Amino acid sequence: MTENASSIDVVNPFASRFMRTRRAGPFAIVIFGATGDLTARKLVPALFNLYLDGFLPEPFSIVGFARRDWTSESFRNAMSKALDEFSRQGSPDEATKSKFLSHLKYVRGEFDQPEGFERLAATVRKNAIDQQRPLNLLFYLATPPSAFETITRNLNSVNLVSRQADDDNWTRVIVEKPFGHSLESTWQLNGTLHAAFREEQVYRIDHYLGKETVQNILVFRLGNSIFEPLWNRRYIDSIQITVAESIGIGNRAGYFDTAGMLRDMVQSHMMQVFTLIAMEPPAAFDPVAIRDEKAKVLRAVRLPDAEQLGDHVVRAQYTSGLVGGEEAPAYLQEPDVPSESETESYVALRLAVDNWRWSGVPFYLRTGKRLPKRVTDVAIVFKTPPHYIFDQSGCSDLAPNVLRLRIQPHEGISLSLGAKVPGQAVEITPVRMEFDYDTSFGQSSPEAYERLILDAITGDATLFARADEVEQAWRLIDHIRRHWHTLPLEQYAAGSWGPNGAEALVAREDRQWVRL
Amino acid sequence: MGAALSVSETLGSQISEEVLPLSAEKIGGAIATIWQDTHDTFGAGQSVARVCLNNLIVVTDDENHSSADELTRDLARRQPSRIFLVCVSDRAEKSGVWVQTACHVGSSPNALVCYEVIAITVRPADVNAVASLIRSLLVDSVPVIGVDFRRIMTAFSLDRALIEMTDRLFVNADAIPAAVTAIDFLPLRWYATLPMREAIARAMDLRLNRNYPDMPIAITVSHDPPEEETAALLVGWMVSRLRQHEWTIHSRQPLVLRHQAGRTITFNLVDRGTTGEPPVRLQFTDREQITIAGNWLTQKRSPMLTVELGDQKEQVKSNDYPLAAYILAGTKDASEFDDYRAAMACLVDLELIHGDYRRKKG
Ligand SMILES: NC(=O)c1ccc[n+]([C@@H]2O[C@H](COP(=O)([O-])OP(=O)(O)OC[C@H]3O[C@@H](n4cnc5c(N)ncnc54)[C@H](OP(=O)(O)O)[C@@H]3O)[C@@H](O)[C@H]2O)c1
Repeated sequence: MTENASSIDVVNPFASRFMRTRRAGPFAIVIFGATGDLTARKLVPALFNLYLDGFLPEPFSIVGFARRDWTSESFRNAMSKALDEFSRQGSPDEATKSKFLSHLKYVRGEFDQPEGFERLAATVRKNAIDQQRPLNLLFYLATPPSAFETITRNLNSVNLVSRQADDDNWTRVIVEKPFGHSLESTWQLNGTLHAAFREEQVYRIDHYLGKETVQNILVFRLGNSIFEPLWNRRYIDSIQITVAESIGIGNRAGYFDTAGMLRDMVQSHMMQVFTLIAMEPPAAFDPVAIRDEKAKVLRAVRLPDAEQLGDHVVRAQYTSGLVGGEEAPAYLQEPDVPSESETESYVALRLAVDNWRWSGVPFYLRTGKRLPKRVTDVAIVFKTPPHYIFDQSGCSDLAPNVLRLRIQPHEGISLSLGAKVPGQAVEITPVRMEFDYDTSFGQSSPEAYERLILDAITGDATLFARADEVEQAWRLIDHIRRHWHTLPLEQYAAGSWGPNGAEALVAREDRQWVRL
Repeated sequence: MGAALSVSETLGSQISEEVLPLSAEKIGGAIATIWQDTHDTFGAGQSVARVCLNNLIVVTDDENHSSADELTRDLARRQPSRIFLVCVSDRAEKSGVWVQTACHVGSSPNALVCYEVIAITVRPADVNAVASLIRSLLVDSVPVIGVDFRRIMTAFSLDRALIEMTDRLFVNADAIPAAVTAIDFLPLRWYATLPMREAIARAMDLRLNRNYPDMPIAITVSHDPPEEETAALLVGWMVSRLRQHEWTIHSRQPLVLRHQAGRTITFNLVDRGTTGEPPVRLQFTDREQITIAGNWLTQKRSPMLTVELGDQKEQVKSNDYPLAAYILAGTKDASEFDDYRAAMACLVDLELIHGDYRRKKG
């Protein structure tokens, strides 16, 4: 009897359904920029931890590509050191580590020269044949965006990109932020990617989306029946999203000074968190439904009136000060920052969303460097009870209920409630109920990169940004930037919570920033 | 039995000072006092979260005490739970209870994972009191999971209560009292086959991912005489999985499955008649042989599994499949229970099992 392809069961009837349900199939990941910082600190450690947890069964291979004159051997040595330093679970034993490292290969090449790509193509093809597996290629562009175009062009020229949707022989590409620096450059970037890949093959990574709490925003909203009924203008007074950093710009002045906080932070991480909080419930937990809703709510964000931009946007730069007891220089004194730089290290925004759910509910966003601590936090501030029956004499304003979603450093959720202080009088005090991820589950969450890389290998794009989402976010950022020069550049001392203008932004509407 | 558990990384674990009688009130009081002390120790500047995710009831006898103790320790380390460790002991002079709460540092600094263990040693004569004691001490709203290490369930009132109280029950016995079958229960023998099943899955993945994927034409499971039931379980599982993928039973003697596309797989279940190492061996037989062999039974101290896939050789350690993780995952995911039920149904259908199993057929 001859067997043809159609008679073959491609599904493994014995596939495990339990404990490790999601595992990668056979694949090769090609990392462009393999000698860089991101590869050593995040990518290879993430792959190693996936391997340790049994998510990367044989066969697979990891191919590094960069300019430096390294060999597979020196690449393995460098990554071995990187694992010692950055692996979440450390490395349990040398044998496991060296077995993992044996999957690494290095191909030397320049992004703009075809020879390297020819060597790369030969290497990955031979590798697939040796390992008796389909080609299945995941490209990771851990490079500056300026390199994307030459890389994709050269990949195309050596026929390493297949536009097939075929599950058995796939090609996918992960690109790192920044996804452009304006709407127009984003179009260009997307155009470059789309010249080689279909949109479904493009995975734009924003590591915020790999964090448990960020994913938990949706579970929390939609997996519990008590929150979603309150998640609207009737019960919510306002929403605050804070991404605070205590560090300065380190040695990234070259990049940061041309980008600034609005583009570096607001356009990406903050907009992602914002959309998850504000989006309508998707019909299903799948990449299309979720990303449709995210794009939709971004479209509903009202562009602030150019004439009154100052009522909606504050920009500022830090002066010298003390952060956590240590002296910090002013932004302009940081290494490599041009002395007349007007780049903002702090932004506060007031956004309005024009839809039924959020009409009249302000979203306040703030983000800055050299703030008192590193924290990412979402505060949902509820309205106070419509009729207050308790005696208020002697106490200040009644505190509203605030639901806090803490994204870093310690992921968790807390709710503040008014409770009676034990005693004869009816004295009410806010108390805080906390739910801390680590404490509650007693196990560490996987690193964001682990989750996201596994998603890309298994073809789940839910937690990656789609072209239209990114473009919608740029629509807002570009609008603000067009009128940027009309805004004063305020100052704030390093170690403070930001400029006066940010206080005024909320005080104007009788509100204040939550304490962090 | 020893009074309290020693969790090595435990910080300031607090143990009740005296042996308590089998009294819910006394035990509840002791827990409250201990928590107060713990809070005083850690409370300042640190929030001690008292999240409780599960009630866990671990039952054992003298013989299996060390396994139960080990599991309790591991469960305590993984999730904050209220854990009842019940030892039905012939050796104990009298029944008594120790209570321990402890916090240890979680995965991030400042995070404390806290748990409570109520260790109950009970003389067979006093066993009737235990069920009611546990019932009044269960934490509300969270699941109740039972793990019973006894090879045979002998204390009728406790067995009944265990079956009634728990949402999921893991048993070391191969059968639970016949009258009750509605509950989701899983014998630990099934858990013991997990590394083997995962190895089979992996071996199959490997075949299918090669350039010319196909199914094996024969699968042989050979075993030592005492491992007959384990080997049968594996066959039952494979047959049930194949039946879910368009394979049907073509003949029973010999056992042949047939795919609608015309291909067949012959199963051989071979009793070697002698005892050898490894006790169970599985082979996919065709052009390229895949052998999975090993000692993976929980009873053995350090089970090890060897998987030979063509020229590749892999070793799987039982440590990769900790029982505590299995149990906690089983509280959320019913697939192991479903798989077990399907495998059993297949075995009954194929008349490959006898004795106690048969009773569950109705
Ligand atoms: N580092 C992070 O934590 C982080 C976090 C989020 C996003 N990102 C983004 O990820 C990307 C990479 O970041 P990174 O910090 O890893 O950068 P990096 O340390 O500067 O590394 C750049 C890599 O690209 C290679 N490269 C540059 N030009 C090349 C050329 N013409 N031909 C061949 N190879 C070339 C370099 O190879 P040689 O050194 O061998 O020349 C190096 O491996 C950037 O877009 C960044 O914005 C980084």
